[in-house]
Amino acid sequence: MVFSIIPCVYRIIKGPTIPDRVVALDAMTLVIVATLGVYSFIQESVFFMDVALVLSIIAFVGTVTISKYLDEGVVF
Amino acid sequence: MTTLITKTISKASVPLIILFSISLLIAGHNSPGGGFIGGVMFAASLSLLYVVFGLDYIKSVLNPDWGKWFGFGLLLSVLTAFGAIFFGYNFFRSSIKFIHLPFIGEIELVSSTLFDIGVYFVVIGSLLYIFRKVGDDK
Repeated sequence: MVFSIIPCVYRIIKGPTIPDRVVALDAMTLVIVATLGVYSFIQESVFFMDVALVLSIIAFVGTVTISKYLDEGVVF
Repeated sequence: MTTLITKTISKASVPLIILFSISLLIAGHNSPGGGFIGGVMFAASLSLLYVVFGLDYIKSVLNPDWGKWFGFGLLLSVLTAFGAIFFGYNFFRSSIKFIHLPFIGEIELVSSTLFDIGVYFVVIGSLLYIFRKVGDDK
């Protein structure tokens, strides 16, 4: 799981354009959500699933907002 | 211009996010969650509506005064904090009570949930007031 974050971090730092960075950030968030799911299964506790849900919702709203900003130049 | 895919996904996901924020709010006294993160979830769902459908359309459908929500939440939190003094306890004292309901079982009522509801309204009011004021500035 940690090894699959490394290409995302590379793309965020190196990425030639801003959409590359946005997509890499979204992919990194999904990897973190999957890690939380696996960790919740290992620890046999349901508390990490709330964290995963909150993180995925925040990432979705942020990605939609940044995409609209990059497309049109205005957010609202 | 937002596409049909974004509109459909946001129509499906916004009620689920609001339900999740309410569940985070009322579970917040002894499990993960609480007033702040519930308010952030509610504000995220409504800001998703603002982004996807446009500020003018949402203002024609649903336009509450978010500053009043802020004031109501702050008043509720302060009254909850001072309310323990009138019962003879110290400041911010929380009380807990177990009641038994039919078909549901035993639930617990905690007075710090009122404080959490106040924090919820404060976060919703402040975030959405800022979003609407910043988005209006064209």
